[in-house]
Amino acid sequence: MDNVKNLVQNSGTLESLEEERGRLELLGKKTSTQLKRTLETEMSKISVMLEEQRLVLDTLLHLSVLGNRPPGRRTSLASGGSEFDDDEEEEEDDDPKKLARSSMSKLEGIQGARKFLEDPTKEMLFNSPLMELDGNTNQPLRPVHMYLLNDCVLIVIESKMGGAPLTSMLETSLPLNTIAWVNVRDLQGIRNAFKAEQRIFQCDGSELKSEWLQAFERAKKGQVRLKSKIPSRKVKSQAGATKNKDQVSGDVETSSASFTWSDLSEESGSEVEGGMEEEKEAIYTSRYLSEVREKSGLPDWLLDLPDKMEVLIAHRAFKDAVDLLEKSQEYFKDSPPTSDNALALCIHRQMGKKERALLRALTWDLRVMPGKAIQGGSQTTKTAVSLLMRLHKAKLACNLYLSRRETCWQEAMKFVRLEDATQLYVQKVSALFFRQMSETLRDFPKLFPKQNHLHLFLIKWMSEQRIPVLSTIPHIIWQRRLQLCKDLIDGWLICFRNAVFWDVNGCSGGDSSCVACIIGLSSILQESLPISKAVRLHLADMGLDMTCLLDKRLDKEVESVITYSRDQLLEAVRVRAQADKWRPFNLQNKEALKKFLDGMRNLGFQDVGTLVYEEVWVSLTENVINFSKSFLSFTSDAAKLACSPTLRPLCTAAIAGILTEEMRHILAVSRKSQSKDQVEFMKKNGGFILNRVVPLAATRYEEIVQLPCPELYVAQAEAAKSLGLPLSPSLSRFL
Amino acid sequence: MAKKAPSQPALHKVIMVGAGGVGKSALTLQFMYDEFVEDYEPTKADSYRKKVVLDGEEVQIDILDTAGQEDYAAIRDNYFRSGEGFLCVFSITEDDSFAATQEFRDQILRVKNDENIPFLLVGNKCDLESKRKVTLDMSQRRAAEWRVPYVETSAKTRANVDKVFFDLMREIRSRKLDEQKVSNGKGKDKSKRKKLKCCLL
Repeated sequence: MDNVKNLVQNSGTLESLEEERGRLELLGKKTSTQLKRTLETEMSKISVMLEEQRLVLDTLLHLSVLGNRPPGRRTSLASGGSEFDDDEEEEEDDDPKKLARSSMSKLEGIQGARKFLEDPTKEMLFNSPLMELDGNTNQPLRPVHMYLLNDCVLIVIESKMGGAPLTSMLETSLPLNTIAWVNVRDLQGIRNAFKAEQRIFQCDGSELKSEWLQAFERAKKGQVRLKSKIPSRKVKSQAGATKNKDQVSGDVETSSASFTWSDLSEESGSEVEGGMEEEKEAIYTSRYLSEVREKSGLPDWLLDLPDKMEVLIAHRAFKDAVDLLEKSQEYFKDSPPTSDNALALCIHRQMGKKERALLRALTWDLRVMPGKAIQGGSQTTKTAVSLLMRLHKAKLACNLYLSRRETCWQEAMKFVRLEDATQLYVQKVSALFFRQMSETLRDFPKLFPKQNHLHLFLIKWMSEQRIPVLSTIPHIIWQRRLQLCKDLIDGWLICFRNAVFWDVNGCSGGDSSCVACIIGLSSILQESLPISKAVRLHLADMGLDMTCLLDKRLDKEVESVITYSRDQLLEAVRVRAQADKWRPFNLQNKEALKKFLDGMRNLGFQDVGTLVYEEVWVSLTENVINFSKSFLSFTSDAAKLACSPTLRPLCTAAIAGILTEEMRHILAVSRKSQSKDQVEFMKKNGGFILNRVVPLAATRYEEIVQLPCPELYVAQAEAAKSLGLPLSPSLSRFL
Repeated sequence: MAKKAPSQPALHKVIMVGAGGVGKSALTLQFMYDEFVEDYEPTKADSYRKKVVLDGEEVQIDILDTAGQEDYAAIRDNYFRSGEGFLCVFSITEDDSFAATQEFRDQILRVKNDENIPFLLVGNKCDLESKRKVTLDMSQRRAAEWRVPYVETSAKTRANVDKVFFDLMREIRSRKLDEQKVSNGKGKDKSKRKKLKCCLL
């Protein structure tokens, strides 16, 4: 106030007062600007300090509990403190964590992202679509979707393969602890961009960009917090490898189980992402280990083992990896890791992880992806299977192997096209099928030696295999295409015989399950009968009824074939018998007669010449001749099928039924006939069937089945009786 | 790094390294926008790009302003890997920041695996002569030992700011020309560098 008074008194004029006022106003303005600026600076400093404080508190919380849950967090789980849990990103309470975990489901359906999806330690922190820009021109390159997980970043692209619809595919995963993340402040007018590993991504709006940067910072802090459990690893403002190392040795004295473990587990958390950074991490770890290894009393080779395993797996030296793994398991079996030996515990856990990684790699080698070509040859398969067996995963290996075989065969099938020549097609398909089966049978005992329990899987698998061609038979029958049906079966039989004989030669005697399967398949066939008998005994020893299993599946189809053929023939018998004029067969000329005689001889009738009179006449009707031919042919076919005991009754009944039907017609016509000559002629024809055709058929049947066909004899005797014909005393003269 | 688009001028990638608070961002912003920012906010990793005329030729400079306090050595390596030239900055008012340059140098050499990588030792804050802790002699001796130029700058007064960036770009450019000669213009940059590396080893 005094100042103002002074001022008024001293300044005489209004102008000077105005001037003074202006000066004061300016001063006021200046002061307020300065204050504002200072305040802003202070505020920003405070916010930085607060953030740092928060980080320190977080770190302290983690440090103080050594595995116990920090107080106030997840109180319900706090009791389970003995575990050195390596949860990586702990949110403020349970809900965000659950949310983060559940939002992992966004990765579903993305090709290649499965291992992240299945990893329970992974959490989704942030994700959004972004536009990737060309690094040179800054032009939009392609849309991507970026997922920020607690320890890595996934970049997912839309990919189009051929004519297939768009699929999301994991393009790359970048470990968070090595990723070079750059905030692009100025890029010639490109706004809202950031870089990850030299690649530029543009956000849709500045808000999204700042969200990304914040999310990334948070994630990185989560990582740092983990790292900071080893105080030395938290690099101070001037970090350098050398200094770092010195600090490590100082901190070893205070080493605790928790930080050793967290260090290693964290490293393995991003095991696949690899790259030079990972290697360097490993070097740090091993340097660090070198300081504690003396205290742990563990042998040197064991200390280096996790690193070594990783290298071996990366180099696909799986056999060496399994050797080492077994060595370590042996070691831990003799001296199990105790809770006071943190390093031993940690290496033990590490080796567990490496074992899983190894299993994954081996499984991958055997796995077949639907729609993809099969990778790796038989050697790869063999190696992978034998190593999986050593890892005590025989069942897994067995199932993988069998489904691989199945895919192999299905893939091969795709190359066989349905062509006009049905029989050729059938042969190709059947050959493939049997080759596949017999290869599997041949390799299986070699791949899985002394694993008798696995034979059950093999048999189950075999019984599930779709047998081609046979399954199409009912359909073909429906279309009444008998010839095609015959072709199918013939083709199938040829291939089967080849496969069976080839396989039996290739098989060693002891492979009971192998032979059992073949027999199961072959039991319906005459060709395999000699083997069948020998091995069925063996089969019974093993307590397996493969025959039953496979016959049942096949028989149903074969049965319908037999029934159908029989019905066809019966119908033919009826129609032809009605049309029969009962006249001798006139062959018109000698050439035709010669042809006829040759044909009959080929069928097995040696002395048909006695039936010929007046040079061109045969004392049989054309109908009877035709019937004889088709009956013999049917008997041969049916006899092949009659090798299977389950089918035999049906076959023999069909054979006998056809004969009876023919004879019934002859009897009916002869009874109606007025002419004595004609009745005699009919009886002569009937006699030919009974005394010459039937014995021939019976002989054929016996040759094939190696058993007589009593039904045929019964039918023959009955027919002879009703026709009043004598049966020829000796059948052998027709042979 | 990658192949150059014919329409784009040559791109030189510069990385600012140095301890926290020595003025890397201040130098960058002064060079980019001719302004001095006194407020200090720790940088994470910021990138800038600018078209400049270098000895009559239009080129682009890409500046990666890195964090002085990067917690992960692995991440820092990753940043360094992308650089073609380095401005290694310390504050002449801070002994520790000078000491840290040795570690940065070591780290860069290890990552780049190249003794002759374009590199400038930069003593910033030379306007604060009264608070000088690092003598010119010490700095020059270190620079001589490394066989790199030493320049003192002030982001505040803009002293030598353009010089350090342009000197470094010249080194990068002549380095690239050498490499082109060595590889006789064949192949991509990447392969050239590898080849040269092998020669040096």
